Amino acid sequence: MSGFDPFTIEQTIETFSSYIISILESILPVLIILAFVTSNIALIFGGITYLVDYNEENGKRIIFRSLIVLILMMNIFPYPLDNEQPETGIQTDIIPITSYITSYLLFTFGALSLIVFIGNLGLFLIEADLKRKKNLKKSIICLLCVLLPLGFKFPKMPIWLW
Amino acid sequence: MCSSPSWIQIPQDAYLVVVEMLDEILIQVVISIVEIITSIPFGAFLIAFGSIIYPPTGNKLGKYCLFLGLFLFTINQISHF
Repeated sequence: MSGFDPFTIEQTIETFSSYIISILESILPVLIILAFVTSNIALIFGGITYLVDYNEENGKRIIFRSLIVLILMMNIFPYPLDNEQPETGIQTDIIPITSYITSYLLFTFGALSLIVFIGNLGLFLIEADLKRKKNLKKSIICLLCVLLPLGFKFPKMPIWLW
Repeated sequence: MCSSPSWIQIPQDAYLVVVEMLDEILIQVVISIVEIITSIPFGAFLIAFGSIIYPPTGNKLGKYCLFLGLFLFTINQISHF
């Protein structure tokens, strides 16, 4: 039987599997950036519902989930908030856009939680109340949630160049 | 049993040879599928997919995707040493 070559079939299967793996690798950067953006947006919306809305539990859960995912992703993949370009083959055109989007969203959320914190602190100083104490606690938690994904290194914002 | 017509000359062990060929092809296909599933890019893909789905909705599927991706990462780390 000379028509059958096991070697060529093996080669074709190996090339096919390497092709599939290369497709996965080419999809990956877009997916990672999407994951960063969605987890940041989820953190911000969860924080806003936690601060403002009456059903705090949903917001607390969303904050918890997105923080866990952000910390996990920061440890595994290069974080796009860094100004220095990472060397792991992620496309360099998308990173600044996503870093601007995420940093703007995080800063707006941080500003909102700061406003709530200052207002509630003033109200708490005027008239101590249990509800205001709770609001103070919530706003402090939200500020910490903003600082954690930023990693205490603030990116170069175009606002500060104006 | 498939009986061949008498006017075609086929060696008696042709059926066995075909079965062996199919066996080898199947084994190679299964091995390549397992290699794809246990590779690092697939784990990274699973983690990215899970972290897109999990934080806003809290799905079970996203959670298990994250766990599976971490598991694949650890497996690949162990096999390096």
